[in-house]
Amino acid sequence: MKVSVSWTNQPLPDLGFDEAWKQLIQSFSDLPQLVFVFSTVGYDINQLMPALLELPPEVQVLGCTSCQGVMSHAGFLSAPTGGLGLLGFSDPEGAIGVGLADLTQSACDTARQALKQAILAADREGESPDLVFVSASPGIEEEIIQGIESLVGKNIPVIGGSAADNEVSGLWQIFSKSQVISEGVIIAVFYCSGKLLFAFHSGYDPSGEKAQITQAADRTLYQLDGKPAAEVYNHWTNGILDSVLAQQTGNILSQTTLFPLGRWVGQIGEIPYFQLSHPERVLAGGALRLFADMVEGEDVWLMRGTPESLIQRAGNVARAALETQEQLDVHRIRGALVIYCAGCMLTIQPRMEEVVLSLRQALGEVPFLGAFTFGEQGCFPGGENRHGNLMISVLVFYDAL
Amino acid sequence: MMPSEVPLMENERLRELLLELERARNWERLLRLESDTLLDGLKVLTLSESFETTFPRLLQVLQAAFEFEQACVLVLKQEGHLELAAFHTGSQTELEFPKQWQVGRFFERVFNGKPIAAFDVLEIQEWKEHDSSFLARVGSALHVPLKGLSQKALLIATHSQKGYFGARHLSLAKRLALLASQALRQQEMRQALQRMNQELEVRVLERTLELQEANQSLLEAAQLKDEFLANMSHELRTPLSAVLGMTELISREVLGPLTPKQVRSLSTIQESGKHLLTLINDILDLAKIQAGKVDLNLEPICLQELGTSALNLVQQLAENKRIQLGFSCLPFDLQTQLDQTKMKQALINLLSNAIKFTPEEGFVHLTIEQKSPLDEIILAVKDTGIGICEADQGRLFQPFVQIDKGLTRRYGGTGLGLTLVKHIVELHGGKVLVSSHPGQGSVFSLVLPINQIKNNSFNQDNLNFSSRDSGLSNRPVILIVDDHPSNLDLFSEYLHFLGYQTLLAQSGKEALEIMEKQTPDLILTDIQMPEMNGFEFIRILRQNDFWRYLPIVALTSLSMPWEKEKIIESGASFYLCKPVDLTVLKQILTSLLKTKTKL
Repeated sequence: MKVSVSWTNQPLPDLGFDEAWKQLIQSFSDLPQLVFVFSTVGYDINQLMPALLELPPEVQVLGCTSCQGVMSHAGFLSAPTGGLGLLGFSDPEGAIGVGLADLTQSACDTARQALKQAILAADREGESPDLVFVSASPGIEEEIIQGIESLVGKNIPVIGGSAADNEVSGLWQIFSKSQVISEGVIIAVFYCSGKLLFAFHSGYDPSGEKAQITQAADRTLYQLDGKPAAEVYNHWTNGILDSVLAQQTGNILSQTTLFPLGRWVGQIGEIPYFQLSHPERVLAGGALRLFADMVEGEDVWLMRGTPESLIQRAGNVARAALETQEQLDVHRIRGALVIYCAGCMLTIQPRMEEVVLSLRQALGEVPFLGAFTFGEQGCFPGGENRHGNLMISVLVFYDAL
Repeated sequence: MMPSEVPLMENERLRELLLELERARNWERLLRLESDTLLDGLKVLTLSESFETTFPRLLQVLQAAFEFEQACVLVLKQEGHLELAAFHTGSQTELEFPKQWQVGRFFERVFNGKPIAAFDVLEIQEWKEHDSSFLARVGSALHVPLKGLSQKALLIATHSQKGYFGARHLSLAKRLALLASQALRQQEMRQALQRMNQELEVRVLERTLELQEANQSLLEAAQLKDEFLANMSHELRTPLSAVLGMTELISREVLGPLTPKQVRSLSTIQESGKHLLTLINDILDLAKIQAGKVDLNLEPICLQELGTSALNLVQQLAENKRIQLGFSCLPFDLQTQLDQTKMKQALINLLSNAIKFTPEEGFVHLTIEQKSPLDEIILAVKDTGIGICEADQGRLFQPFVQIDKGLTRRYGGTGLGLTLVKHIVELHGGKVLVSSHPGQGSVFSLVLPINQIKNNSFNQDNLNFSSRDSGLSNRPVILIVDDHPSNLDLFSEYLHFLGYQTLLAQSGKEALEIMEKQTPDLILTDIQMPEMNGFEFIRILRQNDFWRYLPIVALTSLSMPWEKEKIIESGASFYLCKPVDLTVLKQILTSLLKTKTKL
């Protein structure tokens, strides 16, 4: 098992990719079997495609856009002209496959289609993968997870992050070696000789404020306890939406990052854990639009976080992932993938180097690559695969003996 | 007011700690489940006695941990396929696992790696090959490689729901695979043990055959020994017979008067010859007994007479040493069935020994008594001799063993006397007891059961003859047939001395030629003769109507029982063993000639 990471912020995407690719393959005796490509929308992905198409046939690509930059063990990388990070992975004794599907059917079926392609590409038909990595266009993540589970069952961990752009303007893209799409899903399946350690957390705690969802549809929350949701939320947060409410509608992503809504999705022992939903916009009539589905009848909690917790959280999640390994041998850690909520990143952007530091402290001197996403998917401690907002997922590649 | 960041961080940290604690508890629960399963599994391994019972029980234990519906164990065969070895169907609708499975890429991967789950078995080549009715009831499966000492096997757990098995099952399977692998190893060890047992049985069989062959060789060797002894008997007795016979003739002054010095010399020759004859007889008797070729001639015997007879025979020995002999028999008319000759021989041996080892003017006493209520007769010879220490008493009855070689030199003897006594008594179903202390004399007791011995089948009719002298008339003619000229001379001289006429022939053929011219009154013929032996000669005579009833006395140096029977069967009227006691010969001839005259 081999992991290597490289990056670039060359203004021209094709040159940038070439630079990063050359840097990446220096670490491999053979070629990597899979390359994660996290690129900002500052690069025109279509300009990357010729370079991707020229990659040797044994190299598979899972690509998605990341919000404003990427992070690696070398630091937070963000450039207005664009940039990308590559994570190359190789496991000659294992198998890896990638599948991509455009959203031309239901999201659930789209996910099944992409997953089947990935399993076929790994040449492991019928065989349960160790882990499914997913990157989807925002808005369909719950159905994507449902689609994956309908094929391989609920006991296979799913980890991933939704494609993002810089300003929630729909510019996000998902791409493989040969195809770029805006709406759909790309999936990688892992059949590893070693182990894949993972954790999925948020940096938020319940504030104590709670209400019942009395009216909701998909990701729009109309009423809480029979009142306009935005009013209730504004009251809980002591008027942070006053200015937007005065205009009746508007983007609230930056104001709400530290105060997401949480749904109680499970508990370990007596400790509840929450799936977070990030309010992104106030709609006319006092409704809130979020990055995750709301279900009428359920309770929602006002969650709260701090910049400090968002900084430290990344390292804590990486640590939690490593703790799942009994008798951990740090020399067998080959690298990690980090999915970090774009909203969180935007809130603490000036302090992102501290986030990188917390990850390095947890993982040690191994390469890692992080994407900033508009929705995160992971496996909760109880074993359930979930989509959430303002979450952090860490996937650690741990070699066999 | 919004809470400050510091309490929030503390809350978050506290929450993390609580989560970690809960994770640890979950981990502990999982470990407990594992350890419980392991313990239950170990119990199964310990208590199960065969593969047929071990795996079904083990699968039952694993079901609690894996929550599968059915499971089976497939064992890899040399031909590259898997065979169903065990299965467990926990649900009500029993799943019938196929008995044969082909190994494809998927199973190869399982064997070479770690447990693998299949979310849909219909997409796995190894499963696709099976009957659709079977596949319709299996959604997903967990495949766990089992490694034995030399065997490989596969544990397959199934569930009707697709995508049922996942990370938790795989993690558990990795740990518990050791348990199932151990069951496989246990089975292999059992099989190895069975193989070893079978090999051992084969080796035992081979060894038994070798021993049987060796035994057969020993039997053949024993038979050769018997034959050798018989032949040796013949070879030794024939010249000895001549020596003793001639000596007797001379000592009776048949061949002329003797000087006192010649008489003493002849007496020495006679004594030495008789001693030599005794030794040969003892050796032959012992050989016969040890070969199991001695039949007892049982008849009702008056023990008073037996004792008296034996004492008479050693009387002279005792007198020579001025040893006083004593005898008591209670009750006086005590009788039982015994072989008189052999028992008398045993008594003489004991009495001779007692006299031999008793200093001059000592005392030897024979006691015969019935011991009730045990229905035993005890014949005890008590002496006031040198005695035997306890340590040596156990060796007394071993052949050719003398307690003290110095004693042998001083007292003489072959070391066979007591061995013969023991064998004779044991043939009668009895035993010999010894009570002795150095310097205090000895008591040898023959303990015999009364009437417990089954009578043997020895035909005594042939032995019935009258020993009364009928007197001589008309000087009967006796034809002597023997290939040894010395024997012809001996018998011829003696028969002339007795007043008979003789005809001499050195072979059966010559005898027949003589008989064509003159029929004798009686024939005295040797058995061991070249060309035409005695049996053939007698048979020819008996086939001739004219000679059918002619008295024939056979002379033989062979004293084995089968020889005697053969002689009688051939048609001889009587037989005598060489060397022939001339007195006995006289009685036999008189009796047979008298009978002939009556006919």
